[in-house]
Amino acid sequence: MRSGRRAACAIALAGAAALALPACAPHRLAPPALEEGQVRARFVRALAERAERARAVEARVALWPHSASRGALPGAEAVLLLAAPDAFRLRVGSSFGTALDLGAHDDSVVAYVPSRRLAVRLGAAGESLGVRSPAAVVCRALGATWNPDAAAWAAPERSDSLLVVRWLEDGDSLALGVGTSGLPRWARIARPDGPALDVRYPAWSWVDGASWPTGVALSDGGGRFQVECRLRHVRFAARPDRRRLAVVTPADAGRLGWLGLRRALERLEEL
Amino acid sequence: MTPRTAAAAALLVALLPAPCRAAAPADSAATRPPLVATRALVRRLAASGRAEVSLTRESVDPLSGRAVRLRGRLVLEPPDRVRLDFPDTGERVTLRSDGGEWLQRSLQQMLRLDPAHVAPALRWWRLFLDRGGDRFRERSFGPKEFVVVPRDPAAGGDSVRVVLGAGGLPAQVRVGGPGEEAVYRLADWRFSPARGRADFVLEAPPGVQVIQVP
Repeated sequence: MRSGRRAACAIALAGAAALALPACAPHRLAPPALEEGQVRARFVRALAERAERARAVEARVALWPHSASRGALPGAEAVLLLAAPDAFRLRVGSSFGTALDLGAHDDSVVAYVPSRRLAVRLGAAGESLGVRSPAAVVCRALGATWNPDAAAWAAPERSDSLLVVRWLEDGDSLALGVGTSGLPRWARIARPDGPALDVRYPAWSWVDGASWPTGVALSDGGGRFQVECRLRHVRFAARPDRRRLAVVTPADAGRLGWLGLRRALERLEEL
Repeated sequence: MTPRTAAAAALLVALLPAPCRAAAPADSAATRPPLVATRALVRRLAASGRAEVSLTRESVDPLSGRAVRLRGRLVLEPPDRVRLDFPDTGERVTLRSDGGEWLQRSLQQMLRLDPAHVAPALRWWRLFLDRGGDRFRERSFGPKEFVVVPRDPAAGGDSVRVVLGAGGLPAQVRVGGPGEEAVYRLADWRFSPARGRADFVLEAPPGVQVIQVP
């Protein structure tokens, strides 16, 4: 129904424009639809450029979370280190210090909250979070390094101006919407009977010889919670600095499990 | 409130600028002698009503290892008003017993804080606003250097190191633990009559989203 209304509006607008515009205005013809092969070729070339750079990325990130039930939540700033394919560090803070230092490598996650001297170390974070190799998922989401297999490109769907490809990886089902530029517009990863992650790429920038996603919106499959990320000062390095990727927790920091950390954060409001 | 919502809000509120983060015991009647570390400041504040001081926050970025300097201004008015302005970043914070605001220009947002959010940070700022002897104890390291800790052992082991300068006024406040240490250098103290609560209430500039912290 909504798409029907949209189409009706578009038709009405087009009609009004046709009446209002002088007939002598230069004609603008819509570009011909790209062949699927051309889109794929552009995608593969751009992906290769991103994948190479995603091995060592540093950026400043503004984060705006949004809850379906509560609306806009307090935003935050962070520094992001990305070391694709399977490591990242995110330090969330402000002028007054670090709120959360989060690092992940493959299936292990370390989180540290300096203001409370609380640390979490999870060796098999995927089990706790319900996501296989969470670090790899974050790397792929933020670097847009989704890589559909050849079979996925054999029969892509069309959705508006996008090509949509679908494929399976280790039981996860993935889908990717690719624009005519060859850049991803959205991606979705879902586990059977598990959580889903939707990623949108509303903004891209040309950084150091490659298109890089500088606007990324992450949301759970149900749309209950979303984080809009805006990246700036994106820099690439030849190789990642593994020391900088490691979250160091003081020896006297309290140790919690994942659920313990969540409970502790919830209790902070009562202090 | 969902756990995720609460967690996100709590993380940010925990960053409210305070000399240190540990919870302090509740206020009580001033029966102990005032702290030497803040005695001159508290006396002059009581006499004038308002203090302003130039502030430089120095810390080391834990990721890059680079020194970070942030210049700003601190304003204090007894019994419960604190204001911090950082012109370079456009960041402003006000704390009062009845709440506060935190303007973050880089995020185009202003957080409204209720008394419960503000209380932990404000209790520490009261170290500079009133006698403080009932809630804190101090150890001296010479005539001009003191370490102040909460009297309540349940408040944790955090401490504030205060170095006094001219006129016995705080010239340096060192806070935070390993890896998160910050030094606030205070210079050019000025005292004047109080302007009142209105000077400690922020209005959101046009285009800035106001968010009530859950």
